[in-house]
Amino acid sequence: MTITICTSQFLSLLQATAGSKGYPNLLIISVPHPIAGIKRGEIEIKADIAFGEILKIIEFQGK
Amino acid sequence: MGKEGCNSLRLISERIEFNDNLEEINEFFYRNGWSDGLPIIVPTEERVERMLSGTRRDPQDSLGTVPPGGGEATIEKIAINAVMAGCLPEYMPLIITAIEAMLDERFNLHWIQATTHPVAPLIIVNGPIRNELQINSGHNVFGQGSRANATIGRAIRLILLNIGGGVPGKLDMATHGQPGKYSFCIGENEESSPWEPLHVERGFSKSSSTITVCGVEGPHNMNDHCSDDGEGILTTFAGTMATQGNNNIISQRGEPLLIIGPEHAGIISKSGFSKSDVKHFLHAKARVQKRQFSKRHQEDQFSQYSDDSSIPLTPREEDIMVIVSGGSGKHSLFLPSFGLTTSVTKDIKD
Repeated sequence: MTITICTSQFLSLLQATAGSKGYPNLLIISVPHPIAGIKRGEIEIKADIAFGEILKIIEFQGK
Repeated sequence: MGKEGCNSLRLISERIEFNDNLEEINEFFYRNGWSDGLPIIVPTEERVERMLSGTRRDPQDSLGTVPPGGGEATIEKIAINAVMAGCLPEYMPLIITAIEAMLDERFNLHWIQATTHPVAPLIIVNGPIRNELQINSGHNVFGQGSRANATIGRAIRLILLNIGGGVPGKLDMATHGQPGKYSFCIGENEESSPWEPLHVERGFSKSSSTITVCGVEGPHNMNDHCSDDGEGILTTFAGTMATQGNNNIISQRGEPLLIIGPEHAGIISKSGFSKSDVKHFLHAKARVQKRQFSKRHQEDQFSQYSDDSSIPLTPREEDIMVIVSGGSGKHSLFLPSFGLTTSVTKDIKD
């Protein structure tokens, strides 16, 4: 299973790219923009959000 | 909308019917996101057929898909956008070659289209076709006034928009963009250059006509009316090029472009500098002291360098691109590149 993480600002770009590359059903998690240039504590908060979403997807896929 | 009025069997694009109201048609194109914001020439079937007379290629030949949207770049679709941009049919082979070059994987068009960086594909034209098509390589080379430069560059942008899907804020995520995203096409001023032109440097014969595509920022001027020798002028260039915020120095990749005005080039050459000498000099002198970068840059980008290092613009001197273009005057230009891109040169065929 492949899950791709992007920031909210780039969600539409990623969805279109995935579609044009033949992966219209790519699993995508969006975290609040930005992730570049932020402090470690801030990125950890966003990573926690993403991790929770990943677990939900795995749980859902397992059903 | 409808298929009525479709006379050409070799054109397969959808026909849309309008009254002869130019304003209404332009409004329709604008509202559908099919223009750069400027009025377009309406791509009627007759005009598209006339545009196709400029190439021997079959209208349904495809050059591949244009990222990030993935539309198919058929000769017909290219011709439609060339009409919209105001091109003449004889520009078609050049435009087709430019699209082929941009679809070369080394160019990395996907990232160039989608990035937040203000990069645009610059088309540099070399060889006899410059004079045949009256492509400006002299005064005001990046400015207004030349139909070929303006409309070829505009056609490229419309193709990237309408076939490649590079809609601002959707698939084109440029933070600011730059004026070159309307049109960005120049000739090298080979007649005023003391050195071999770009295409000869890259292995083509002088009599070949070529285009080179490179993903670069807008031009930044380098004024030196004082220096009377090559070392002096190149020292001015080095100081202007050695900046902390450009992608080449930060990523230590790519090919920054130096466009030397003919007067500067003449002085530099008379001082004994070949083109490779120019690159060697600038690689040695266009550097930024590591300690001048922000603390985070020092830690994240340049940890492998000692604290008293000077960081070069690019790791390899041969990656600094040098051409001669423009008219009289003691000005030259520096265009940092996107970094994650390699320029591509191709000869222009029918």
